[in-house]
Amino acid sequence: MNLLESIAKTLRLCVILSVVLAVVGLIAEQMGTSYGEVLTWLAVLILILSPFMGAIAATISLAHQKDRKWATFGAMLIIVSLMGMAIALIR
Amino acid sequence: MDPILLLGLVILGIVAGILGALLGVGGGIIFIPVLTIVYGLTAVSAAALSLVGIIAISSWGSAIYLNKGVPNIRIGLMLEIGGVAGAIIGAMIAVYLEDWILIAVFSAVMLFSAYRMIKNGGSDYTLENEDGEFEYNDLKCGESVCYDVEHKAGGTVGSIFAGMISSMTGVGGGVIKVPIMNIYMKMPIKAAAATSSYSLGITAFSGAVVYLIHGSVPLELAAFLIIGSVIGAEAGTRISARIDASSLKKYFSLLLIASAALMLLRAGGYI
Repeated sequence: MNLLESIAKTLRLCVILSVVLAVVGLIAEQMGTSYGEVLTWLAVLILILSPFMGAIAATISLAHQKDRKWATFGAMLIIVSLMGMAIALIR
Repeated sequence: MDPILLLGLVILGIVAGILGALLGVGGGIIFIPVLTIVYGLTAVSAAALSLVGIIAISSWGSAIYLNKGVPNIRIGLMLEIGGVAGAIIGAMIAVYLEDWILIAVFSAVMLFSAYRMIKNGGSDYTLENEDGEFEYNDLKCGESVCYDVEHKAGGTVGSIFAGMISSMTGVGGGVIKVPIMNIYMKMPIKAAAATSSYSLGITAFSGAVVYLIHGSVPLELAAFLIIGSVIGAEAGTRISARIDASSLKKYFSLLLIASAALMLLRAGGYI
């Protein structure tokens, strides 16, 4: 699978999963079940993470192509993103 | 919340997705005025919700453009190192700022967007080169175009500012990133716009994740906005392939100026 195709497939998969969870979560909330809000939260989380997952797919694909220079930039982006998430969790 | 207002969020997502694809904007300049003026959300909640909508539009729209070989993923990844760092800083600052300051910053971004749409609608500062390091598929003529990119490090530093503005105000930052890539780094405008569309999802992610962890994302509203935004992004990319949106930009810029004025009036407590 090439670089662009792998990112596109990752993004699509995350968005579709998020939409499905959002719909199921909203229906569950309307039915008064306790897990409706959890499903909606998961839907938002998966959607928010989709660009990050795309960046991981891009970095893996670049590393697989032995494109070291750009794979390094991808790895740096992942590290900066993880640091941001860690800071947000700590605060 | 009133079911009609919830349905309105789906429609808002659809409109933002279509206009985003036609006008090359992320959707934030459409989401924020509606969420603050019509839905009465605080600047922080509106920014958090807007970032979720932007990610939905960016991720779905990018997946389509990626399959056509337009965005420059390598440059996108590099610029986003600065973009993500800026977005984290911006989201942290935003929590401590007064609503009126965020609204004033957002209004300034909207006015700048309107100015760019009127002034530079058709300009392109490309550095095309047959032996260029990068290439993209020009969908209009169906040919592969090679080009070089200048000032990569400077562009990454500029992306820090774009990231900060994005997470503080809830816009995607495309209005800053596209000029950085096209005017300063000499990327072809089509490749720059597609790369921006992909990368603003990454910028929005780092701001949105902070808001989600802090509980600032209204979940039910977000679910409706996600559904509408994905439908809009799919429709927008199909429509943009068929029509020329250059004349639409002039009218939309007037709408932006009017929205900025409304936002400033709201920030001042006049409406």
